[in-house]
Amino acid sequence: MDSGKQNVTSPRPKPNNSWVCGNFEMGASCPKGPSEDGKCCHAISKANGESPEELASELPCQPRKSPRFSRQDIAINFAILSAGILLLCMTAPQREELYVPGGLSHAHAQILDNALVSERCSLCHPNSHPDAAPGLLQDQLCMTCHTAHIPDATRRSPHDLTMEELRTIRFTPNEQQKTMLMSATDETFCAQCHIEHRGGEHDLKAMADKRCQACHREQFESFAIGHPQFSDYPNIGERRFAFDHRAHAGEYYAKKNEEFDCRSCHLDASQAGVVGSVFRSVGFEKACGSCHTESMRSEFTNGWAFLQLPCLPEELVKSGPSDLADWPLSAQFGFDGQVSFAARLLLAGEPTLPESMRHLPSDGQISKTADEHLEQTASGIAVAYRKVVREIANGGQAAWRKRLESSLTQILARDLNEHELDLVRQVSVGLPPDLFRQIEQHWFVGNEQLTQDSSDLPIPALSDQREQNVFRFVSTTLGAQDDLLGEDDADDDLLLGGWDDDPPETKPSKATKLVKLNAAIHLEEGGWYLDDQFLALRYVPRGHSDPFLSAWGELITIVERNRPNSAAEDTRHPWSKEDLNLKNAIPGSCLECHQLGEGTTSQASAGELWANWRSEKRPANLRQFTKFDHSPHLSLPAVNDCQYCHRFDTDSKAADQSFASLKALMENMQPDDNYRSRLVAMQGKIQNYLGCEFDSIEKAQCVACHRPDGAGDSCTQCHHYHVGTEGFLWSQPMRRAQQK
Amino acid sequence: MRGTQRRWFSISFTLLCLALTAGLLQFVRDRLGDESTFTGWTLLSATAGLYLLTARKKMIRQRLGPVAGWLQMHMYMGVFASCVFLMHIGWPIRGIFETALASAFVFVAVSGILLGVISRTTPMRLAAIKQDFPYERIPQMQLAVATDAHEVALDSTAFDEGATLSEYYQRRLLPYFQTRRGFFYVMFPTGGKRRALLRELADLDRYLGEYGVGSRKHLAKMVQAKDDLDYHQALQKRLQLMFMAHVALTWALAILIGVHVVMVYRFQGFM
Repeated sequence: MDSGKQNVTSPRPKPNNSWVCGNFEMGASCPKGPSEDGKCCHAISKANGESPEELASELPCQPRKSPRFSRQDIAINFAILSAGILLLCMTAPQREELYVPGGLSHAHAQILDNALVSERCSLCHPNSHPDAAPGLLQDQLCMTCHTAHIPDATRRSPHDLTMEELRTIRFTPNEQQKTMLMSATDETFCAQCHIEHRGGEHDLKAMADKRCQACHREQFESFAIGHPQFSDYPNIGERRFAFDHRAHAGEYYAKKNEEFDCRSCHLDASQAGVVGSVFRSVGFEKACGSCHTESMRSEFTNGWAFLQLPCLPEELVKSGPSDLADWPLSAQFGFDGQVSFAARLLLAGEPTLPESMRHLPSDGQISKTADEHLEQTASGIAVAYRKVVREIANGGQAAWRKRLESSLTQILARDLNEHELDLVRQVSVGLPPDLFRQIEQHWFVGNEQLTQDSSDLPIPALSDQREQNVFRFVSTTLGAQDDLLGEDDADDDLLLGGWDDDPPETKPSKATKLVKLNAAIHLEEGGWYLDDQFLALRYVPRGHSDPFLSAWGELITIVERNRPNSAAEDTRHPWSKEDLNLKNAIPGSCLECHQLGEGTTSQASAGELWANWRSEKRPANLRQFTKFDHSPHLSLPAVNDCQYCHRFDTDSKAADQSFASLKALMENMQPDDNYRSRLVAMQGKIQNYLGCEFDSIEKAQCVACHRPDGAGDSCTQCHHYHVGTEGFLWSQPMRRAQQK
Repeated sequence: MRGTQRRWFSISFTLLCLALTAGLLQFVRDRLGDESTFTGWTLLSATAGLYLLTARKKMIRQRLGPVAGWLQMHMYMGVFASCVFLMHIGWPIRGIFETALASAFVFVAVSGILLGVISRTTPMRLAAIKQDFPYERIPQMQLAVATDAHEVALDSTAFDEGATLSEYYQRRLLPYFQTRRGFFYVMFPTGGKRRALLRELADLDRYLGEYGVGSRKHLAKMVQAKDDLDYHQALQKRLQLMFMAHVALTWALAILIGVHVVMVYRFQGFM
């Protein structure tokens, strides 16, 4: 066994030789060895005619590949095999399933599974298929489906905000200090956070807290440790309703011996909003109606005297303008009567009238007008009334609308915008022209002229005329026909020229005894009627949120808000700025609760400002920076008391003045030169008071449950990422107000 | 630099590179960067570095340092690439193609690690045997031992001491000398067979005469010599097989990686 030394007759093969002699293992290899192409040296020698004695091995062999080259052969064969399999897979019909790097999440899978196999990849991946749209980025394909609910995500910026919006949250207003760092890039990609092909159970929205802190400067360990305290959460922002929670909880409910339950006004289990089933308000009827409906009705027992014929002295009627010749006898006993702000607005279109109406006192009582202007003002208003009644009696709602538009255009010194025209239409809806015709026929004498002069107008059928003349009021809500005033029908018939043929069956019997009209009883659902006693056209609202009253309120406020700053220019308004008390001008105590507000406005945003009639309702798909769902919290015994989180501010910034005292101060303010500025200041105080009624929630209250081992404390549990401009504005109500 | 120092330097440098990569990955992750791209390109670079050893082996004439040095670099880079691979893949691995790619990588990596371990332990085990045997001559030596043993067994019958030894040879030793050891022995070589045969041979002494005992002792030496040769052959063959397994999927892996990279960029819309 001499193995250590080199055997010269049978040397070890060179490692770089491709082939080895087949007899080598048995110690009989030839020194020459196989050729490079693997042929035995015996065969080569035989072919060349050499002697076999020169060869060490007696027998020819089958040369074998050297180990190194056999390894390479195997590697190359495997590579060829792999390439072949890959190519084969690419031609297979199920190639997408072979190459897909994992299953889709359930949300995407249920959509894409319906697509054709050839289209499935190209729906999300550009260039993945010959049919895919060229030149698109993957994010653009994502947004083809996701634009509807996150439209601003197309900006591909942090939080889907514009650069200007980002700048406002990156810098604190006072210190100009960065509160938010730039991310790795200001351009974001969907796949940065939403990683697909991780299987059906993978949560695409799952986000590690660390990733949020990639951009946010204020680094902290967890919600419990390091997260900033809440300073103004939930931020109240601007209030649309002046509701004093403290007074209701501590005073009003206590007087009625009732429990003050937040849920009765804020919880509506039948709806789902941004913060669950809790809303700013569930509506007047549900929240306030039980206490306030009756008091509201009592204000309108006899209705609102929209238009009341003033009383004039008999001498003035006789010696005055010819238009007053038929002035009702019952209104000829001296100066009396009240001119509503609405009537003043209606009459403002008269060329000379605004100036004379400005002499009226703030409550519109003619008798309180200064003596030197009394006669002129009263007669001017009476003539204008006469003209208005005749116009509307002839022209109907169109005449009413035209006059109102004309008055507003003259006061505002501009064309009306869309919202204002809509308001004018609203106050025209349901206006009964036949009541104006009845004023003509019943209150003014010598009115035969009406039918003769109006021959150009389309005269209704006789039966219709009779019907209109028989009934003295019309309900705007029901269109009801009342037969209470049938006693005068004989006169009406005569005025209209009597019956040509058989009288209609609806003619009330003369024997019918009708009770006296009582608005509280007969106009329970609201509407217009004529008050013969006070010669007034009255309106009884339908109840809360009466469209006619609210439209009037808005129109009057628009007029007031567009008053010129300079007193010299302020000649178009039918009342002086000192005279206006919005509470008087808008009947029904609307402004007790609705914060129509003061301040500047623009023509374009007028419609939005008047949205203050309704409580602020956030869109259901709104994404603010902070999200909260009341529903799961209210099901927990520990926190189902609303006041666990919403506690009254015991150290209010406005604690020196209670809400009631502020309101009383505002109501008792006397008109003077500084009235308006003081009014605005007072309304600001009220807003401040309402804005700090509640303490900010303590972070510790949330931390009690929201821990990593409890209810969870990840950033995305309480914060949205995809905010967009709308969410940005809703998240910062005060900033939104400033922008407007 | 001495061997120990070199080893510590290499281990420290590899750990430093891994820590740096992990730190950068965390940085990229925290900055909302594309972590897959970062780890992917790092892995691709490291894998390309592993192929440099193959290239170095091809370049015999250039002075590019000893292959042993390149092999060291290959091993530590392999460990680094394996760790980056774990950072790169999402767990569990999904998809048929991705699974095939990961499996190929894992196979190459695991076979490489085993190869490294075996290449470190095999010389010590070989050195435990007194004599060195060139691998390619072991069959020839095994044949010589088998021939000697056969002659000893035949000669033992010439002393009229019975056929005990020759029968035993025919029954137990002839297969041992004439056949190769099985695959299990090649992978896990042990001295069990050798000890069993030597014990059996020793037990034959009570049936043998003076000459028979001498022949038995001669056969026992042959058994030990054959076992030494088998042991040598098994250890070296195991090394060779592991190397073959490590190399076998390298080019297939390169193709799979290429397809993976093209698909990633193609599907992202960058190609």
